[in-house]
Amino acid sequence: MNPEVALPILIPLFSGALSLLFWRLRSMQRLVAVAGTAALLITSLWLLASVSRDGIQVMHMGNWPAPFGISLVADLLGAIMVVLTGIIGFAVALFSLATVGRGHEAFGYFPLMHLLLAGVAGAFLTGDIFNLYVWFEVMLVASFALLILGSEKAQMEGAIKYVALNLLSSVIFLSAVGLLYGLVGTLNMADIAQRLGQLEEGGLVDVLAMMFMVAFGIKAAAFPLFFWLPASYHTPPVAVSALFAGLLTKVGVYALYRVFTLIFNQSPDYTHEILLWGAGLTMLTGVLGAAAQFEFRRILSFHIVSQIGYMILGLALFTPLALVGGVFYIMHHIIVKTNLFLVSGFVHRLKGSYQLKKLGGLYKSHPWLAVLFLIPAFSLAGLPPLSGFFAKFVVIRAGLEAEAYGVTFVALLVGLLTLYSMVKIWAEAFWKAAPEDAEPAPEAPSQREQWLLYLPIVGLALCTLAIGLYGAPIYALAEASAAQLMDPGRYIEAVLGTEVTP
Amino acid sequence: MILPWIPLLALLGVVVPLLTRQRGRRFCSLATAAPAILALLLVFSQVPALLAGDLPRFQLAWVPQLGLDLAFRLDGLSLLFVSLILGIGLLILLYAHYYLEAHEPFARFYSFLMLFMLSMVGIVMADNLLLLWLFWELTSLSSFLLIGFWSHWTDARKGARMALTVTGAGGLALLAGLLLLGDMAGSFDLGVVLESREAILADPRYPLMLVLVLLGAFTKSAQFPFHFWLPHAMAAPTPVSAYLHSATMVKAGIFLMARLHPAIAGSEAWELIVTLTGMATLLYGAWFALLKTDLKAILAFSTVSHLGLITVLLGIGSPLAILAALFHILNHATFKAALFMSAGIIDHETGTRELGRLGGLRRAMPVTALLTSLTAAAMAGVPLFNGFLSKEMFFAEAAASPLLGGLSWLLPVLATLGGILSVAYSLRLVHAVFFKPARKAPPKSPHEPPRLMRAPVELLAALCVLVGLLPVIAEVPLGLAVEAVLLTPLEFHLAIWHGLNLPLLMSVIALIAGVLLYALHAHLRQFGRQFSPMDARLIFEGAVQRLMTWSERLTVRLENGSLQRYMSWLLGAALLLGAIGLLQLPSLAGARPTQEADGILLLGAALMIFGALGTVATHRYRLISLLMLSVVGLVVSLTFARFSAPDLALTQLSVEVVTMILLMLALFFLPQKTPRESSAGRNIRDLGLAASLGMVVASLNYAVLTRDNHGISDFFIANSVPGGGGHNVVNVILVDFRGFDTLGEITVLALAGLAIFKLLNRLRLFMPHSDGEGRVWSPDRYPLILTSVSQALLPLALLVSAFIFLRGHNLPGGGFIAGLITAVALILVYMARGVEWTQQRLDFQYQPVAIAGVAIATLTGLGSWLFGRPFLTSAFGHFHIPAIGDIELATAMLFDLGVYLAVVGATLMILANLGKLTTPHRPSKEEKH
Amino acid sequence: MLDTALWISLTLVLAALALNVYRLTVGPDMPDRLLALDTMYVNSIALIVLLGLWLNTKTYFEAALLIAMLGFISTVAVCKYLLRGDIIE
Repeated sequence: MNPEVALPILIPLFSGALSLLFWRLRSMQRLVAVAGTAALLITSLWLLASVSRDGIQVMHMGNWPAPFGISLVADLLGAIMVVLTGIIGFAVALFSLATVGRGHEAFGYFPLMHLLLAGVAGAFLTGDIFNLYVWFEVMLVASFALLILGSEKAQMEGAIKYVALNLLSSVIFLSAVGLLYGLVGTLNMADIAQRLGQLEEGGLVDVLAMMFMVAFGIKAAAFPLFFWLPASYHTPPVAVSALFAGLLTKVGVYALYRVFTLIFNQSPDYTHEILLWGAGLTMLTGVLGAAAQFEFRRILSFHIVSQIGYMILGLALFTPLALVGGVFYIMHHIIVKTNLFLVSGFVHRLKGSYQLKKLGGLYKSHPWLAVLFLIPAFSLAGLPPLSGFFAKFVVIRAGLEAEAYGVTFVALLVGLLTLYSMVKIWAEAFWKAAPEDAEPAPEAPSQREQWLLYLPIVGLALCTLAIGLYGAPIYALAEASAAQLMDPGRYIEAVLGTEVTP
Repeated sequence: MILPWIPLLALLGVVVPLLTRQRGRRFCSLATAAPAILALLLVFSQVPALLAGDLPRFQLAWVPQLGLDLAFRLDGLSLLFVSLILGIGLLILLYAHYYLEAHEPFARFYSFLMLFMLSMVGIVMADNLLLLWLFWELTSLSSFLLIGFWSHWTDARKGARMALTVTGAGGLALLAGLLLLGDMAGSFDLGVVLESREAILADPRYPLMLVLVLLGAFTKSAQFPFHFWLPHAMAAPTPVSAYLHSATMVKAGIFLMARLHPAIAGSEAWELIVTLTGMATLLYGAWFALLKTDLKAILAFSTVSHLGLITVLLGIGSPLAILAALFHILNHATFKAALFMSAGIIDHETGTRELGRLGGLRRAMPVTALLTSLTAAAMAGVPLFNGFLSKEMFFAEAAASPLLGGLSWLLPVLATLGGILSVAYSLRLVHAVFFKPARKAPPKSPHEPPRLMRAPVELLAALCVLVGLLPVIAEVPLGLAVEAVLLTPLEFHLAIWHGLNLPLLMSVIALIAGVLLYALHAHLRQFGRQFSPMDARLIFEGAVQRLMTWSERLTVRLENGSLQRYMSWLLGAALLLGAIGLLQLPSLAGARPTQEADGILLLGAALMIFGALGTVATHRYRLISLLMLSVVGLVVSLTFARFSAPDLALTQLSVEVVTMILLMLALFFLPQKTPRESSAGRNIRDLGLAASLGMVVASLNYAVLTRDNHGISDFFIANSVPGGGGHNVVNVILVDFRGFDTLGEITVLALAGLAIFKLLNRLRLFMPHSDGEGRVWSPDRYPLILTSVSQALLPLALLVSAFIFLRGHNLPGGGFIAGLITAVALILVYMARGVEWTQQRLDFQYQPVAIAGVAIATLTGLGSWLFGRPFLTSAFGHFHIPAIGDIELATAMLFDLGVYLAVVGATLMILANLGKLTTPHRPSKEEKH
Repeated sequence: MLDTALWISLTLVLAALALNVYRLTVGPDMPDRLLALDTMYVNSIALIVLLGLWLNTKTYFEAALLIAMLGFISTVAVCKYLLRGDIIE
């Protein structure tokens, strides 16, 4: 028995149900929010510990042997992602206590947050392709509900685009799953991988691979499939933005990593070449989009897109080092990006706006907040010795080693433009004196609220610093998980329990 | 173990000012200086070891997998630089103590300054290429904070951004270059790299690497054409300029070239690129130094020019040229730091830096005048000052270099030209500020600065003279540094007098022509004015601006807010990728034979196609379109039934009805007929997209269905009864084999209910008065026949639902279908009796029902954990119940109950809430035509 | 004997379905279309029962039962929609 494999899904599911039951009791909901996410974080660490100690952990739901039932599989990548989910969930839960208003709480902000986390954790842990679809749906519906929480016009408009384009992704995904099942007659990913390996004709498999690429590419917000993201991420309450920014697109990236290392690894010349182009264009369009923005959260949103490009680049190069870089990048990015959104929320709480034009003077009035912005911002731009440096560094090194100079150049250029964007925010929101015609700031956060606002930001900033300064063990973890990804046989063996013929 | 303490002490210096801020500026300054002094002493303590031929090194693994170590070394080159950095840093600290105004946040300033010192110390002491790069970026970052210290001032912000962008770009190029270099050498360890010259020069990637590394060095050291950020960085407080732009940051690029000299220099490419770039920079900087009127701008451009000079020497690369380069680094640091500080004093005491408003200051500030004259003389290369010695060596090396073949004579000529310009601008600096009468009075009445503020300048000026008179004292540190660059000791002797030779002639020419040039300087400026002023910042910002507009245009084009556009991008991408794949397929059809078509099937297919086309064709008449859609739904469920999937048929039917009701509830609020919205072109585009996608999907389906697979379905059929305790395989799959999926799906359903509940909650919509043709609604709200029939039908429907639920495990049915039937039955009551009547009788919220469903399903799954089985393991058995008989019960049925409740709760949550939108107190409006 | 009867009735039911669709398409009025759809449901019941007879299984009969019930409800819903616009008041 290894309950830690299922607990990261069941705990948020249960917390969600619990806080739905206490619909009217605000204090209870808040308590469950913190306790539930803390429990998620703890179990996820437990899971990571047992995975790194004993290897890939598998739980067969309903005690049906794979491939007949649904298996939950936690390999290192999955476990790492779940830990990150726990960290982000906990941080956002704390931050929400101070930023999500009563109105939103009354409409089920907290239960939705829990269920979203359940969906995310489910997607990271499942070893079954249809089950993955199910968790995608949980995520999609929960995130849609969170997006429309405020019922404002801009939110509705963003949410409609969000849900329409994501449903399209679901349709493509579902059709692809159906076709794949028609082709190999199984849904367990390990089993699919094994059977595809025995299939003589590869052409049809490539087409299916493309369908999965499009479906997950939409989720991951890759070029040219990213439109839903900048259209919607700047509209909801900032805690929601932060949660989305950290986790949702990364589920898409994770799915790409899973599928294109485990299942569709037969013709990397074809599939991964397309990914490579996608990665380069994603980086570029994202960062250029950001350059044209002057709203705090919109800049950050476009940067999500460009950063996704780096992660896909890691996968597309498909060398051991590149995968290490990709995994490292995902880890770093989730923490940093969430933190930046949280900072933007803090700024908004202080100044009442996200428009750079209306901000200013924070360097003088809140020097510590300024420092707390600089840490993730410079990390995002890849400056040493922060986490982003190592992430970018490994990816670029892998690019040079693979002699993919063009895309490496793009990666470097995008790093520079990212730096420029971050400096733009810094100069406008922090350095510049506050504009004279600024609207009077909303009611300043109370001492207790300030604590709740600072706590997650500081925590995540410390994570960023720790990943940077204490890089060796994190790197070793990324390396080990990349090694697992490069050797799908281990995954298959762990799930099916048989020796795999290569 | 002494080495790591040097950077560590600098790191301590970053924290100290923040901690001691409360205790006053004097204390804070002293406390900040202490670690730096200590570090300097530690550096000097290593000199004996160096002289003995040792190389102190220190290594600590950081991320060993990447080749990144915390490794430091202190060879001669490091020693030279680290002493400059710490020594001048301390002087700057003293100077800044007096320079900053009382209200300015001095602790923050000190902290940034020390951070910068730390990163410079790191660069010059790093024994690992990656570590070097790391500190390199740290200098960009800390200088960014320093340059923008007066952040309320737009120029400071812009200058800082520009400096960071340019040096950041160079830094990234350098990173790529260093990565390649490490790859070629096989290690990032500096010791290894310096010894792998052959391997590096022979590598095909050498030119690429060289260009990248030099890009990094040139941007940092403000070499032409990347020099433009430096003059704008002068927006920084003067101590910062004095520190960063004389002794440290701009020298980092030079240092890098010197550091890597043994490994990457010596190729023809190196010599050409480095020498010519340096020469261009030398002349360009000197020319503009002569034209500028702002004191700090003059100094900035002269710095650019001197950096060019050093670069030329490094490019020439002979042992003596290296020596000259290092010597000039030392000299330039001393006189330029002094000059910057003097400029700061003048600015501080008079309130301006414009030459036009200064003049005749020798009376008010005699000591400053003397100090400035001395250091400017050193800069001009006047004999008996240190600048003369290194410049002389520069002339000699330029004259001796065979670099340009037949055109080699160009080098000494250009070098002399640079010398002439340098004499002219130095002279101008001194003359215009101190001797020429002022045209306009400065804003403040000038006087001498505080004694101690002048002390650093005095010390540096004394050094200029001392080295100029007694060059021997520089021999020891230079000897060590040259040895570190050349990897072998070099025999040399520094002397003032070398006899009458070519360099001396060049010096004399430079001096005389320089004085003449300054005399003609007014004409020169006239000449210079004919060219439109080329402000580098405008060019840079113009470029940035262009990039902005360009990216804005691109973004607007891509991200234009139109959902249709996004959809077409997405579908287009899917189409393209799918079609490319299909094109490569050798044959679409597989081996499996196709089924024969009979009349029923053909008619069914025809109906379905017709229904689908009809839905699209009538989409503007929403209700007709909906009816057409239900034809499709009906035929689909008939198809399921025909191909022996009764469960699917039942589910499809119930979903169909629920969907229809849902759509009609929504349609009520929409216009009955939509206006024509798409142009013909767009219709064609959409039609093409839809048709091609349909063809791709159909081909794929055909391809897959005509291939055999040996799937897992046999297992389900075989194990459904023995393993799952049910004869209905579909249901056993739903609640047992793949119960986890179902758990997820009912969560989705409950969530959807919540979302819609939320969505509708604050919605207030206007309702139309009449139908599409303008007929007023019938007054009969609850027709009698309907109410009576529905009342009769309700128990019947509930019975059907219970029946379907109970037998679901063995025959077609189950919780999902049963739930839908119950929901539909209740909706019928809602339709017949209205919301109020129904809610009086069904006095409970649907939300808890849905949640209870999910909870029951989850708990059933968790229950199996109590028995030590994995989640959702089911158990079943046969029980004998009196009066009923033998029945079979499975825990899966409990799970199914959860499904049932979730479905009923969620469906009603959605439909009843939509229905509730229209309360009797609704606002209404006339339908517009 | 049964086969022949089945074939004849199947043909007739299919023809009826086709005619229903025709009526549904041309209208001319909303109630005509609605009636056409309702008749389609009825004919589907017939079709499914006939199929059950033909393929000799019982499982189709529940489907027929459900079509009967659900078809009725959806017809009621459309009627209510035509009369009042708002089907749940």
